[in-house]
Amino acid sequence: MSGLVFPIFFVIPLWVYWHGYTSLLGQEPVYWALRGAYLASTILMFRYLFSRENALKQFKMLCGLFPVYGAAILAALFYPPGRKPPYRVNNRNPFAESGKWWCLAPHLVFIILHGTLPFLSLWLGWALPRLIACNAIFSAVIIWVLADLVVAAWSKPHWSTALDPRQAYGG
Amino acid sequence: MVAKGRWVVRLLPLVFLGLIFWFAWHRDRDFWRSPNNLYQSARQVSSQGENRRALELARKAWTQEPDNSQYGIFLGRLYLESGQPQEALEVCRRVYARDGRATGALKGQVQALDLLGDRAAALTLLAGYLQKHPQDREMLLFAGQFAAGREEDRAAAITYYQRLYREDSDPLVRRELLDLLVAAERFKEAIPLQEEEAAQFPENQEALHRLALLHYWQRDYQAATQIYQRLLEQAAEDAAWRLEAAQAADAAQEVDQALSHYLWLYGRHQGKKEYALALARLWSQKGCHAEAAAVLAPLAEQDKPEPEVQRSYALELLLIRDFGKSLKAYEAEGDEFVNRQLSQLIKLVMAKRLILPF
Repeated sequence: MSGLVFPIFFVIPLWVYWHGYTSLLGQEPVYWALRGAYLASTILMFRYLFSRENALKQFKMLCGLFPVYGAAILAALFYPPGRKPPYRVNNRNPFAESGKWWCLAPHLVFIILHGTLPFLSLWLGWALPRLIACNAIFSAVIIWVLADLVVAAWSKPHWSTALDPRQAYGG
Repeated sequence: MVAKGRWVVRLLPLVFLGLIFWFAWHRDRDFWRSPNNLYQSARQVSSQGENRRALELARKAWTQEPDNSQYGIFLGRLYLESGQPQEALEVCRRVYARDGRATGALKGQVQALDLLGDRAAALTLLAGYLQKHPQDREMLLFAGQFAAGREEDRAAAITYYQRLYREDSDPLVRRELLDLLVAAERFKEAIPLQEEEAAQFPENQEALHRLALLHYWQRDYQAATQIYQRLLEQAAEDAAWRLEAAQAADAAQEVDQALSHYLWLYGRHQGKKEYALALARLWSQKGCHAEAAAVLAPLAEQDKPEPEVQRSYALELLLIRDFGKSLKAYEAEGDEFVNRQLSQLIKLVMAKRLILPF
């Protein structure tokens, strides 16, 4: 879901800003009813799935890590049965500063596109203002979800003394 | 640092949304409304007479949903009402090109072309459609009404109404058709239709009256007289119809019938001059000169009688050999030359006791 479905959700508003096309005009009440039911089901699912343990944060991580899950799906598809990719230690030096900014490139691209395309579309008249305003709500949610992860990745991690891994693993 | 970043992340979507909504509102203050909402508002505003605002709302509704023919037709109608036929024509053409069943758009095109002064193109458009859809009653009615607007297109209007009446024997359509046939003086074609109406509504005296009039205009005075007779059996007290009946009988050379009608009118209107003259003429025609003279006497004995009346009175008196009164009447009449000649003749007759050949 995170690797395949979320990216589609991220792209749909961008597509609408660019092409101005929607099949929902004239069927707005039906759309909002179905969308509301979907949202309610999602909230319930995550509450159940994450045992009420900070479900919103876990949801944001699930969304934000879509490139990781997407890459994992691709790896599973491209490696034939019986042949696994070589093992790599992914936490060899957990306290070193990560300089791989490009890991955040998909997030930054989506944030920039969602932040600029609606204005551009409004300015150039690519889509109806009503359509843009409606999709901007989804863009705002996407920006919020992805920006949280970007901020977390760019910030120096802080732990309480009891949970500090340096204390646990020795740094 | 992280806490500060989180605050920015929380605020960012709100700021973004605020900016988008502000910008959208700046571009279009009705951006949040659905096409249906815009359309309904446009209808409401239009009914309140605010055409400019209605036009703006209708334009937005159609822009949002250009496939909706109803919105396009309404926008075209508003353009027509606000005196913008070129815009109406463009909108209606686009609607009709998308939806060939949107006859409202076709009507809009026709009206717009007419307003633009291209009535021939409007009529051609209608004729083309009705050739493909000969049984479309709504469009036949519209075409009839449209063509009837100008005298030079009356023949086309009659044809459309005749086709419509063949499709749907509606009394209202027949009524329109009859009015057009009468206006075009095509009484022969109108009479059978009027007979149908009179037969369908036997209690409707006006239908019978119109039938009588049609026969009269067709110069079939005998038929007109018979119908007036039927009519007066139902409405004997109607003076207007009685007068028409008298005129019809007069024209049909039914002197006795005409006399009876004029006598009724003469009695009802206490010796009105118009009826007195008609009675005198008919009686004179019939050879009843005493009656003619009697009915003319009150008119001739007024202070200043009309010369024509005076002369007729004198002649009737002469014809019943009341020479004294006749002489007096001639002397009172204004034309000196005629009076002198006639007075001398009467004096001669009286002196010689001549017997005149009349």
